[in-house]
Amino acid sequence: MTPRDRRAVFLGAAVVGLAVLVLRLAPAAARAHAAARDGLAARSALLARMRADLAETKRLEDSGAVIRRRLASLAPAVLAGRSAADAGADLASHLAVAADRQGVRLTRTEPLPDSALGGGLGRVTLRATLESDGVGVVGLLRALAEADAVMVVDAVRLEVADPLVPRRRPELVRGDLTVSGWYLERGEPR
Amino acid sequence: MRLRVGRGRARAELVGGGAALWAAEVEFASVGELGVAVAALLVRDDLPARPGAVRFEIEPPLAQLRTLGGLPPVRPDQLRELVATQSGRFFRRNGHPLVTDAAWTLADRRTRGPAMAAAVEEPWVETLVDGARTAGVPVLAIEPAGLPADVSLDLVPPTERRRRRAHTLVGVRRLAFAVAMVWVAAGAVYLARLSHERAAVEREIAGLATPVAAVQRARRALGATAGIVETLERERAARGAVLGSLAGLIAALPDSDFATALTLDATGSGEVSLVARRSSEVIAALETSAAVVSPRIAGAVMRESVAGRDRERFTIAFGGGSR
Repeated sequence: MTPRDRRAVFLGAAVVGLAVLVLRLAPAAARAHAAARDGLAARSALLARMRADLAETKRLEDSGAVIRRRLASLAPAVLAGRSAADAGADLASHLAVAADRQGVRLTRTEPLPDSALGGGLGRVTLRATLESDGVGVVGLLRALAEADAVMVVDAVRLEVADPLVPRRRPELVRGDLTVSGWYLERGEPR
Repeated sequence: MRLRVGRGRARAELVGGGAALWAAEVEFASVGELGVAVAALLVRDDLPARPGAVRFEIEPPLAQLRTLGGLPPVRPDQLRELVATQSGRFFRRNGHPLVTDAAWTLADRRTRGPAMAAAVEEPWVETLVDGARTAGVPVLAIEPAGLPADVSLDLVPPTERRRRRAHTLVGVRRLAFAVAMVWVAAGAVYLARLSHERAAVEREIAGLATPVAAVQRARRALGATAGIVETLERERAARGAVLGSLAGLIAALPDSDFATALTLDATGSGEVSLVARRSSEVIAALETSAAVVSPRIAGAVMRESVAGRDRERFTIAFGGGSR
């Protein structure tokens, strides 16, 4: 093999090697490097978020103490019972007691379907049919608004006997109330 | 060191700071003696310092210096090639191959002048190079004596040129290898650093996983508890809405009016059916009191006469929509 041949072979091999380096190895290395760099960046970002979470510990403790105090003060506002049926019974009981104290006669109570949820609380709703005079109805509404347990009157429908028609009996108000209350759906909040 | 070689005599001068520091002269009778003489001159005991390199100047008639006119205007390397291939045309030969070199001179700053060429028989320069190599002193140049200042000719023999080229090539290869190794090392260091950082991050993530999970559980529980508190407080604030609307309605209605039916919801919407002297008076009273929002007559207004008094029977809707 002459020096010229050797030079040609060497040059050809160098060109092939350079082509493999530039077209195959370099792009593959660049991709691998980019993947490694992106992976590191993603893990670093995760670590930063974890550090931020840990830095929040003190604030969470403070907030937790405040919220627990507020929750304790609101404990009577929740209906007793861990199920909708139990809570509905408790709501009916509260309603009956308030009606009795105001001289309102409840002729019927029926649960209404209610699927509302609020932060671990479930809502139960009742419709109560009542008879009373005007003072009794207003007294019942006031009693419900001021009770320890949070009972919300969602709707009221009242009818009064025609005042222009002469009658012997005193004023009679008939109607119904839709009342709802809240209970702990999954037990005590942790 | 400058070593001037003439016919049968070689003179060496050690030059430093522009002045001759040392000089010595030897005589020789043949090419073979010249090599020994050169080697001896370069390692003389009385040399003030070991020479770093030697520059040979060959005097005529050992070196032949020619000014060549009428040559085609070729590049300097082509000129060298031209003179080398036609050395017999320009120089005398005594049966030995010639080592030649040629360069263009400048007539002025822009104009090319005639070519200047030099030749020396190869055994002489080979001997000089061998002598210098024996003494361990590198050869800086071999040039003919009496060259103009603006012309540089080098009569290094082909073997020495090949050796220099090979030496340069080895140097270039070593440099290229060193550069490649530096890049490889830099890449390796970078990858190692990346890997080290990744490992450190993973270690820290693993260490923080448990406390962070606890914090996240606590945050979720806190969020649920806050939702409970928020719901109860919102409902507690809203539970008097119907009572308030009813109280406002009762207060706003004139005493002479009678309500016969009422529907009311927590949004403040509803209807009230009334028997009153004038429906317009009731609307005005409700609007003035702002007890309900946007009161309006719903349906027909019926007029009646009761016990000699005129009355109107009508329904007022209020709030967002009538029922």
